[in-house]
This record gives sequence, structure tokens and C-alpha cells, in this order.
Amino acid sequence: MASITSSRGPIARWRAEHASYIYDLRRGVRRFTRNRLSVVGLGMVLTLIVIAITAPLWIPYPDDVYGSVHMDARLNPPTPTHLFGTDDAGRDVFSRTIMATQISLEVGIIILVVAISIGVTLGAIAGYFGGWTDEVIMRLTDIMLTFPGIFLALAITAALGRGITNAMLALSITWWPGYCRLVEAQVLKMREEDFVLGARAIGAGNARIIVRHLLPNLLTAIIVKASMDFGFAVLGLASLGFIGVGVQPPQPDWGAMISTGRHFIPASWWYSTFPGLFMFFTVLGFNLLGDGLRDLLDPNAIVRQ
Amino acid sequence: MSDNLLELYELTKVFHGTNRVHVRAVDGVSLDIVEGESFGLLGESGSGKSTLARLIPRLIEPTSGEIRFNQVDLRTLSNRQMGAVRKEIQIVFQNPFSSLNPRMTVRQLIAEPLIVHQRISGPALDDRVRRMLGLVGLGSEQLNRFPHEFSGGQRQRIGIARALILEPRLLILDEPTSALDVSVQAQVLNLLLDLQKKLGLTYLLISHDLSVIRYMCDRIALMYLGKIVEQGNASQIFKSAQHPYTQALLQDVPSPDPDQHMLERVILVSDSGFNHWSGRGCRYAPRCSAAKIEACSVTEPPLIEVVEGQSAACHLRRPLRPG
Amino acid sequence: MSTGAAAYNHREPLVEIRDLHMEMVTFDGVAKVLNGINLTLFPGDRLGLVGETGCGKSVTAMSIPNLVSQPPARYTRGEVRFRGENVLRKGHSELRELRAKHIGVVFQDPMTGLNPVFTIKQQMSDAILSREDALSAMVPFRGWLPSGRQRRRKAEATALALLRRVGVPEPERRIHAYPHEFSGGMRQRVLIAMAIAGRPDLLIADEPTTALDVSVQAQILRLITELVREINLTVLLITHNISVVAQLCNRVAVMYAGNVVESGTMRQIVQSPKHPYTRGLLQAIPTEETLRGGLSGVPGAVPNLLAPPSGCRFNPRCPYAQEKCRTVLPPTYELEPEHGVACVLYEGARQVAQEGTGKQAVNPSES
Repeated sequence: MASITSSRGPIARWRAEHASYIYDLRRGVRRFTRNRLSVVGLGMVLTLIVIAITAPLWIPYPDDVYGSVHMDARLNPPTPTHLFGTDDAGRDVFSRTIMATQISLEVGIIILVVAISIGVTLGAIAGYFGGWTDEVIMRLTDIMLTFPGIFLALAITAALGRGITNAMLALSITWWPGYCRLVEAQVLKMREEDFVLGARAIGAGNARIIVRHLLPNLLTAIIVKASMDFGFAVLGLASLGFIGVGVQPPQPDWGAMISTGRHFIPASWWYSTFPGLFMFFTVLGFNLLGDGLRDLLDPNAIVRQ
Repeated sequence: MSDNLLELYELTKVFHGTNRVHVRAVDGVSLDIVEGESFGLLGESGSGKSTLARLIPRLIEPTSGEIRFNQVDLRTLSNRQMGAVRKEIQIVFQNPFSSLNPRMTVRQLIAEPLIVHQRISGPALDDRVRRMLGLVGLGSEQLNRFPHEFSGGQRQRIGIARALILEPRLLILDEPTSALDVSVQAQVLNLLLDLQKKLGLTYLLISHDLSVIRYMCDRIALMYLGKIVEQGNASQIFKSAQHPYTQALLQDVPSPDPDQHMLERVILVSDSGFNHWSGRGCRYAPRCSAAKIEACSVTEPPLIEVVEGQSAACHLRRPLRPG
Repeated sequence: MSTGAAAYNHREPLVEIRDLHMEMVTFDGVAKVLNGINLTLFPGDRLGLVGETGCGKSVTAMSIPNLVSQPPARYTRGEVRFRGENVLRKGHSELRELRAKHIGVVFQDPMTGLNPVFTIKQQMSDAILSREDALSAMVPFRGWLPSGRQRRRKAEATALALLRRVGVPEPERRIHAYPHEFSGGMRQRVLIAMAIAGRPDLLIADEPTTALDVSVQAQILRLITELVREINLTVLLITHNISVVAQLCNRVAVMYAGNVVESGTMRQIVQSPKHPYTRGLLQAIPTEETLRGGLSGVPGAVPNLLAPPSGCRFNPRCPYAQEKCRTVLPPTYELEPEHGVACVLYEGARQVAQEGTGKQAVNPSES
């Protein structure tokens, strides 16, 4: 690939030198945008992020989020002033649903960050060193994976008590085995590749090999998995909320709202429906995005001869 | 004797498989490499040559034997001491597609050995990387590119640059050109010759390709199923090979000369199931077309000098110096 | 089973590729893979198609049984005639018949060419049965019917005979084995056996010996030579190794970046190459006489087919390149009977085809 280094300013030079990054980026964007569903997913996710970040600025009834109760305005159907109606304590469902978005996304990020940190570290160690280390770690992972996700999270919160922190902890513990297994399998395979041998031949130590050589090659797999998992992590949190062991009142939570709203169906349908829709929207959006990213970042497509 | 850069003595590597199957991939290999020479190791698949390449810098641990580099037995060194020796012995791998980390740029790949060993950074590091790049014939505009943007020959040059940046004394080349087109192979081989002169390198060149070994090497050894069967001066061996395997090999190599009607010569036994050694006698005996004697199926023939400057491991050859 | 050789006139070409242009659609753009290929094979020929990475030799050969997936490939011009008929226009069932009975293909990698979970017996019987009756052999469970069982038994007997013919020792025992129990050379023999099971007219062998050791390679080449004589096989051998060609083939076509740059008898090409690329290629092979340091390769690298050089695609690397080389693709000139070169250096000679093999004189005004 010929590159013409311009004698113009530093920007042009930087562009020429990093031509490959730029080229790959552009190709990546082009490939991604071919798939309409992925673009839709991206749009959905971006919308959610924007909502989550800016929520406090524009929700119509900020007080309703945290506690004020208006018993005279209970269970009003959607009106122009209360877009999603009011709940059984007279609070604006719209504001609470939007605020719950912020909380859900925040918690989701924390859950995944913790889960990935634990899972990737353990998986890399297991895969790289093999032998007993691998056996022990993977058996532990297997045990954790035999529990259906939600039950494990339940059990942990039951043991630790209710509350958002414990819910986060429980969900992180539920999610890390997936990453551990993914990383362990990949590391096991990559360990035998020539470029790892080459790194050892020049004298690189184990730490350097794992961090500098193996992990960057795992990045795409992890990103893809994380983007698909995110929706389900949020769903997990909502499930705990539904049962009442997650986010505690008066903090808004989709799961809790759906749960309480159950009692008022079908008369006051708006109470459960709108949070439910938001949850659906979230899970779907991240799923679509994850699919699109996977097609984009698939290693088979990246390394072309 | 004291200018031997590398001395291998009875080097052995046994792999343990399932069902108590042991593969003696390298079995009692002894050879010496003199500083400054190009030593060729010729062998086909299953001969153990690649394993040997990885044993020498202890990328794989030997089962037994000695590896004396610069008079020091590498097996006695600790991990840290071995790290220092690794600077002196470098290896270039066969497959230019898989031997470079696809996520590292050329600059990172070539700089890494320096970062690991010498804690240089900044402009000094950059300078050395650029100089190395120039030595192998690539320009500095390639520094921020990724391996997949290069052709096979260029990738191999990057691999060579990466191996040479620490200024090693011994360079092990494991099938460096086997994955390359023949016109590119010529470029890379010439580059290697050029670098050897410029940097005073010693080469251990491993290949299954006889014409490459013939072009590059002064002394050679032939491996078969883990053992050296013939060793000595290259041109001598090519002219008059002493071991039946070498003779068969030389006969089977196709040449671009159509007048050598090789296919019409007698073809030896078929090749089924020849990758295992029964444990007794000469390993080549099952395929050997020479008139065998009893010893061939009973004891392993030792590697002995049969002609001045040439050794072979065959019961049918008489030693040059008896006793 | 058909015996192809007797069915038509031996003077007629078995395969005729005329001005074949092919593109491949990739993420990065459209690669112009074949740039006007002209190639002819006569019955009994052993043609070596020689070239390096990216020259298009594999796709050219695979165009004959129309095995190139379209998309992403796209033939934009030209035709591929097998026994007089244009293969590119044939329908599915005609093609299946063609591949079953007239053309046998041996692929490069004996490791992946065989399905690891079936025995050799199963795979060979399948191959033989499907050659006999391309359509109905694939109907499931047919093998359980009495007529099916009988056909299976016949196929197994044929398989045994074939294995014996290709030199697999103890075929009665080994036929029940799985592919991984065979060595590379043996696997290649099995693949050859499956390819010739239907007594095809043409055998296409794509780098059949590249993955094998030298001694095994010699045996496989010799096997192919014998088969050529015995069953009147025509062979198209794809390889990057000219030495292999020198031992097996009677004719050679050299390809570079989508064009046939030179073609002729094997001696003509190997002993008096005329095209600068062919010369460079031959000089890049170290022989007994090559002195240390005396090897000359071909400088530069193969072009990117997404944006190939204009005119003669070899011009950036050619030591004799002139201005016109950069603008116009040179036609093929016939230097002596059968020896064609596509290079302006030989302008004086008779122009044979827009890049031809020297066998047919095509009116240059045709397009």
C-alpha cells in the first residue's frame, strides 16, 4: 500500500504515518454500517446512554424519583402532564422510568467491569499456566456455571441482605465465569501460536506475554461478549428488583416497578408496561449492537492475506 | 575446538504421549557449530529438526544432554541467567503469517526485544529500530503498519529484524523461506547472506529444502527420526553421500533439468507407517534399499567418520580410523 | 462408467479457455483476478500451470469444472469450454454430471481433503456411487434398500481395486481405517483414487505434492505419470514449483497476476525461457551450479489485484520495461511452434492471440 508522505504540516504527516489505523477504522465503520440492524442497535444504545446521562436535567418531576408521595393523584392514566401516568403513590411513572435507566446502566457497567476483571484474570492465568492451576480454576468455574444465573444471584443476596450493593456483587459473581471460560479457551489455543513462542524467544517474561501479547488479541472477543451481556446484566438487575432484593425503594427500578404494577393490571396497565418496554428496548438494543460488533470484529474477517 | 560457538552433546528430547507412547523426537544429537559459519540441518517432517531448533535456546526443555554455548552449558543456568543468554541466541520462525503478533505494529514488534532486555526508550530506541528496519530493506514509513498489510517476504524481513536487533551471535533459522514464493525466497536468502557478512553472524539453518541448504551452508547434518545420520562438509556430501538415506533423498529431489528422468528410476518402498521406530536397530532400516546385514535390525549404528570430513551412521560403512 | 477419451476427436482440444476475465468482490473493493486468460489442453497433455501467489492459477483451473463460487467471483468476459461446451453457462445438473464423470480434482491439502469422521471405505464408496449416478446417489437411506446394498458392495470392490492401483499396501485392511491413521502421502493417494474413480477425462491436481516430503512427492508424481498412460488421463497440474513441472509435464503455462505470460513445451520453457518473469523465476531456483551469493530473484512483490498496474502487470518489476509496457497489455507472440510469449520484447514475431498459448490463431480484431 503506497502512502504519500506530504511535506505539509504535522497533521498531514501524522495522518500518513498512521494511515493503517485510519484505514482500518474507516473500513470498520463501512462494514458496520452495512448491517442495518446493527446500526439500529447502535442508535438504541446511544439513545439510552444519552438518556441516562442527561436524565436529571430534564425529568419533569425530579422529586417523585426519591420520595415525594402524592396520594391524591394515585394511578392516573397517561396524560400530557404525566406521560406515563402515575403509580400507586402518585409518583410520575415517566420520571421514575427514565431515572431507572440511569441507575440500570450504571449498575450494568459496574457489574460487567467487575465480572470481566475477575473472569479475564482467572481465565488468562488458567489457560496460560495450565496443569493444576487450570484444573482448579476451571472446576470452580464449572461449578458456578451449573447454577442458573438468577438463583445464584438470589442465593447470594439472601445471604448478604437486600440492597443495591449486594445485588451488584451477586450479579458480578454470576457473570465472571462466562468470561473466565471464554478467555481460558482462547489463551489455551493462542499459547501454542508462533508469535508467543517468538516472544519467549526474545526473553519476554510470563507477565509481559499475557498482558502485551495475549490479552490484546482477546479484546475483540471480550468486547463482543460484553456488549451482548450488557442487556442481560440489566435484565438480571431488574429480575432481582422484581423479587424485591435489588434496588430498594424509593429508588426507581424497572423490575420493582413491573412487580408492583402487576397488582394493578389490567386497569392501570401503564404502571408495568412502560418500564417493561424500556427493559425490552435496552436488551434488544444491546443485543443488536453486540451482533453487529461480532460481525465487524470477527477475527476471520480482520486478518486478511 | 575453542572457536566452537555451539556444541551439542547427546541432546535428547522425549515427548510423552497417551498410552505410554514415547516419541524420541530428538535422540542423542551431537554437533558443533563454529563461529561465523553457516551450518545446515536438513531433514523431512518428523525428523526432529524443528524440535532441535527450539531446544537450543531452551524454549522447550531437553530431557537430557548438553547445550554448550560459548563453553557454558545452558542447562545449568537459572531462568535469569538464561534470559541474558537469550540475547545471544535468536530464532526466526517459518511461518511469517503466524509468528508476528497481529495486533502489534512493526515498530512495537522490532522494539520489543530491546524493551525487554535493555530498558532503552525514547529516541535512542527509535533510532535503533529505524536502523534495523533499513538493514533488512524496509523503509521507516512502514513503522506503524500491522503485519497483515505486508507480503510474506516482507513479514519475514520483519521477523529477521526482530531477531537481529539484540545483536545475537547465533541465529537459528527454522525453515525461513519455506512459506515464501521462490522469487521472494531468493531475496530473503540473499538478505541473510548480506547480513551475515555485515554483522558477523553464525547461522544454524534448518530446512527440508535441499537447494536452499546447498546455497547457504558450508557444513551440514542430515536428520532422520531424531538422529543425525550423516554430517560433514556440504559440497562433499552432495557429491558423494555415504548414508543410504542421503542418497535416496538426493535422488528424489526434483530438479528443473528435464533430462534427469528421475521418475523413471526405481522407486523405493512405499511410505506407509514409517514414522515410528521399533526401538531396535537402525531407524532407516525399514526403508533402506541397501543390502542390509544383521546388525541393521539389532543395533543402532553410531555416527562415525567414514571419509575425511564426513561422518555417517550406517553399519555398511567402515570407519576411517578403526577403533 | 464413462470412458471419456474415445468419445471425441483427439485433434480437438479437451479444454479451451478463451479471453477469460474474472473479478472478485471483496470488502476492500473489486480484485481483477483474471485478466484475459487463454489456455488450451489437448487430450493426453500434462500441462503445468506455474505461478506464484496471487497469479490466479487455482481459480483458472477451478473454472473448468466451474467450482469457483459466484459471488464473490464474477466472470466478466470470455468462456471456458470443456469438450466444446461452455462450462460457465451450464446448469446445476449438467455441472454435476461433468464433475462426476469427466473431471477429477485433487486438492492441495491431504489433511483437510478427507472428512475425519468417516472411514476411507465410506468416503470412497460415496465418491464412486455419486460418480455413477450423480443425482440419486445422494438420496438418504437408499443404501439400505437391497438394490442400494448391492450397489454399495460393488462400489466397495471398486474402491479396493483403486486403492491397490494407487499403491496403498494391504488395502483390504486399510480401507476400514480413518484418515488420521494414514500418512500424508497415503492420504494423497486416496484422494487421487477418489478423483480417478469415474475414469475422468481430465485430472486437475492443485499443488498435490506441496505438503509432502520430497521422497513421497516423487512417488506421487510417478503414480500420476503411470495413470496418465493407463487410463488416457489428461492432467492439469497447478504448482509453484518448476522442478516438479519439469519431471511430470510436457507443456507449461506460466502465469503472473492474472495473465499467462508464457507458454510452450516443457523444454522450451525450462531450457529457453523468453519472458523476463519466467527467466527471473528460473534464476531464483538455487541449483548445483549456483554460487554463494549468485542467486538473483525477482525484485519487488506481486501487485495488489485491487489496483493492478496498467498495461503489462509485470512492468514495475521488469528490468526491460518500456513506456508502452505501462499502457498496453502485450499480445502473445509466437516465437516458434507452440512457444508463445506475451511481451513487447518479441514484437517482431507473429502475433497469435491476445495472450494465447499458441494453438489457435484468433483474429486480433475480435474482442
